[in-house]
Amino acid sequence: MKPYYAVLYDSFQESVRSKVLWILLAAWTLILAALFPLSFSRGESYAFTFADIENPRLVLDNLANASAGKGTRAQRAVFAKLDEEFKSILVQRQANKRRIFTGLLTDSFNKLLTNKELYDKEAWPNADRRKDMKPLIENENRTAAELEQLNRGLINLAFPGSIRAATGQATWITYAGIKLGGAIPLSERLLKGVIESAFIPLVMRFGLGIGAMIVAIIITSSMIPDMFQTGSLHLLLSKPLSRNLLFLTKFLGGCIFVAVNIIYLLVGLYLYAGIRLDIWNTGILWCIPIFIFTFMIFYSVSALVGLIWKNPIICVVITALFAGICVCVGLIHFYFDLFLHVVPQTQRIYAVNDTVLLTTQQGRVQIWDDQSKAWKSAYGDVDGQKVMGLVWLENEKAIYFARPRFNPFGMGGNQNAKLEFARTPELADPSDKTFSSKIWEDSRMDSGPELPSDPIQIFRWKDSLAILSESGVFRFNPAGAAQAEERKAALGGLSWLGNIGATSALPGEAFVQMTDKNWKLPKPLDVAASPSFQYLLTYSNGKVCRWKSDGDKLIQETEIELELPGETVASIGTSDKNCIVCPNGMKPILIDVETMQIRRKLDEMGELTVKQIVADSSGCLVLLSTDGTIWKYEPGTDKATQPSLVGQGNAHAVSFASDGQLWVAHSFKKADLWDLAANTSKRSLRPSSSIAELIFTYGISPFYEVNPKPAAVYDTISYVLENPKNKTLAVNRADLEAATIKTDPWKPIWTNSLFIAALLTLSCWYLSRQDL
Amino acid sequence: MQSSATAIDVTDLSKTYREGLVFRKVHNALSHVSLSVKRGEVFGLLGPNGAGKTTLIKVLLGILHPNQGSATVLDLPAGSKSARRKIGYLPENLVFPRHHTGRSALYFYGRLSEMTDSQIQARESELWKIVGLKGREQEPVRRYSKGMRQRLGLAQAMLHDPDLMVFDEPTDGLDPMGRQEIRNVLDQLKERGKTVFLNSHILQEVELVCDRVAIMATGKLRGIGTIDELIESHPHASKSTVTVEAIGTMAQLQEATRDCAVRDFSVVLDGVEDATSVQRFVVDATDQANVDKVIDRLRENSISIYRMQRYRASLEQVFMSIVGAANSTHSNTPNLFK
Repeated sequence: MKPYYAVLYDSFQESVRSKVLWILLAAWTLILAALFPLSFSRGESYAFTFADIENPRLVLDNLANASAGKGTRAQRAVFAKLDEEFKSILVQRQANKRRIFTGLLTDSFNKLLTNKELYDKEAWPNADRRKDMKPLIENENRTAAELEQLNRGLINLAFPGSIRAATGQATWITYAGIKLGGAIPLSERLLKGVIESAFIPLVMRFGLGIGAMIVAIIITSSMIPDMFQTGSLHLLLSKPLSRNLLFLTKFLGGCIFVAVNIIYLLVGLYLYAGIRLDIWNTGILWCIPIFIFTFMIFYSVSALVGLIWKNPIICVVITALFAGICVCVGLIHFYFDLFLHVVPQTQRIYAVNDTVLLTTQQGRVQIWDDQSKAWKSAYGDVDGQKVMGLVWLENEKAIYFARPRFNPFGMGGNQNAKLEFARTPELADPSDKTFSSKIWEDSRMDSGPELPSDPIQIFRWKDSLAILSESGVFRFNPAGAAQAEERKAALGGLSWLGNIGATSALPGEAFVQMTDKNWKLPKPLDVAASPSFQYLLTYSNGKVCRWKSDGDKLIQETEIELELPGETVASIGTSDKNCIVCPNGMKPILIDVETMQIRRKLDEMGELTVKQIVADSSGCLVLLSTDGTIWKYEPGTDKATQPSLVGQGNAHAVSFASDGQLWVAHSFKKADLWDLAANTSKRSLRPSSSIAELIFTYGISPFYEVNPKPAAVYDTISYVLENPKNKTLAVNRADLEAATIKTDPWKPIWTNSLFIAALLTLSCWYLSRQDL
Repeated sequence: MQSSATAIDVTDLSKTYREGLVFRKVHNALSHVSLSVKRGEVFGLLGPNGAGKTTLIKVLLGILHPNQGSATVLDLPAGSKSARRKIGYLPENLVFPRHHTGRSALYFYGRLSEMTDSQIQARESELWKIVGLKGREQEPVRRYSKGMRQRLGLAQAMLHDPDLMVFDEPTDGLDPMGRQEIRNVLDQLKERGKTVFLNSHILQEVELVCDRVAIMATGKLRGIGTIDELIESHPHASKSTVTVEAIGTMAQLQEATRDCAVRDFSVVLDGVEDATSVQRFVVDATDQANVDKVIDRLRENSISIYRMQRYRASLEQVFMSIVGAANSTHSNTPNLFK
């Protein structure tokens, strides 16, 4: 092998002695040097961020009221201290119904934070009785930070339930110690998670994956054609070398050249992320061989073209064409996949007697039509939202749900959503006049009262439904809702002032707060009601609370601290005896509901992210992980097992039917009803394929499979960069339920390896037959 | 196994080039070529451009695949790795990668010839001296003149002390001094018993160093043998005439040889006095008695014979004659590309 080492060494020497290598290394050094001052810092701050205003519309409405001398004294006091410019904008809003961006509101509030005269005893009569505010009010010589804290607390009190409580800590992006922009509404841990799971893969994909790859292809394009330089090749071939091995060695030489650059850049990035951001992600180093591999895919094309045409320009052009074709095929596949498998993916499945309904990721509610063997959209195709619910109330003969706007990772302010109300076609009662119902295509639905601010979940509670929000748990009061509707009808068409009252039910009217008014459950938050409604369990920021019903109220009985990292998102599910808490990317924890003691960790399930937990009356708990695996925990065996079900490993949603059988939505649009005891399928819903699905299944997919997929390697890169701690990047419980496509991260490696092998074999065959 | 006395053996070798995808052009670069080169001899392959000389070398080195026939090099199949181990090759228009110095290039090609660095080190000093690059070996090859590159090419070809050396136009582009130095190297190799296969179109060079010569034209072997054999075998190699130059006036000479078979009188040197005039004429030597008679007559008339030479064809004349004949045959062939 010595002669080949000589060729390899010579290729390396050629790179070292060429200016190109040094120019590239200098460029990478400059990029890293420019990046190095970029970091983030933590500090004390009470400033408002856009995410802090949970209900901007209500705040603006309240301020509008205050401008007219209405509303609470605190709201009027806040309005009085606002800057004149914002006040005039508010007046314009009233007159022209002009939209005000949340940013303007936060800017204006932030100006108020430094106002020494905001506090007014009459406006906030109870503020000096609050533990957190009393010392701040009594202190005459407040520091700037203390003044900000006090004013933030006062503003929060003026708009209860509409503004998130300040943690006093904030994160800023800094460059050489200078803060860039305002505070980021993410904790340091979450910000690191976002950087690791989103930002670094983005840099890898577009910076290295596209930018650096183009540079690499252009620079190495001449290596193979140069081998054929007259007077140089014949001398090489006169030596005792195999021409195929000579070609492969030259190919390897090109890869080494690129490898030097990739190693330099990625080791630099790794050190930067570690030293400056405290993200020591070894995945960045694992990206080195993967990027070299990606380059090999393109270079194998360039090398074959170089053998045939012996021209570097043709090499670059054809390699670019190849990349373009791959991107086109990949995009076609991606969009078909997105619109056939991701967007309409089942989020939740429900059964109301024999009627099967599901909600999809795009915010649609669909009903199974047995005649046409299809899922039919019901209650309007309202896309871009998240369906909360469904809850079937037997007494009301109605399905309730809500469609708030989905804000992934808590980004963006929450818009108020209304409780929607519908009858399935066969259950519809045309004489029902509870709401001013309209006939829809296949059923009847209408909007009901506005939900409490920042709704998180709608769930069945006894013979009614309940809403979990950050402000507490609320019970739906249909009678109160009907009163509000009547008032709305009476006030309809009046001025903007009237509209405020008309669109919102008064507090306690449609939704009765079941938890204590002053009790706030900080996010991340989840709730589970035991099947007998004996208990309600909440998970809130690492703590599990057990609540018991006392008439219309929920009384907190006991709680347990789970010693989880702060802001850990978790799912909670409970039977009457056992509760399972599944922290994101960790082992599920089994808790005895009676004693509220941790029984054990469910080690047999390993570390995973669970997105749904359902319980039946027998005490069986079924868990669905984000990777589509279904687990069953039975109290009798005290063991979690994976039942053998159709769709196991590819499930999207689970729910128990009233008779204790399990509905499993799987494989995008399929569903099966399982008798878990007998382990048999009782009913299978198999929708017939649409033309688009047929085209995708029999046309696009097979073509995509045989087509080289260099872009798919970035899935592998994302996988190796993914920190196990961030298995699912989640800020809220709802983030866990985002659509997932189960992909094998290593598949692109072996499929593209086959492509590289095929192309190199073809090149060798061509070369061996070629007269040079 | 005892090695045979043959270094290169080519039998019925043919090579056809095909070009174009739709309208394919066919060109017979080699057509039924058979020749053999003995071990230890310097063998010259002569031919005009496009005769097929380089194609033959490429086939011997395995760079091209023949369509027909076979060839062995040092009793090994031509083009095989084992055969290539024993060959030192200097290609035509040699180009070295620009990043090399003379020394690093020598090491690179030495390593490709499966030599260790210590083996290369042991040989390099002598080689730099032989090829005349001593003291210039650390310079980058991009600064080398064409002659220096040729010498470096010679050095790398000789580095692993091969049994057979194939030089393709080794003196191409060199000045007379450079050519002389290359010839000296060839002489040294000859003295050391190395087989040299020399491909050249410079007849003088071949005539001076080669033991045997083959002449190729239009892809075919047109002649092979020693230079004398080639000349002798040529139909017009020698004519039965003797050219005589004698001192005297034209009238004196014509008078003296009046009854002899002579012709073509011409003045070589027209002196002021008769004693300095030199005249040339051709004597028919078909009958030696006529030659003797002419000499007798000249001496009887006290005419001094300045020079006498029997006619013999040169290699160039033989070459031109062969190539000219081949080209005329070839040009009469309408299907050069079919």
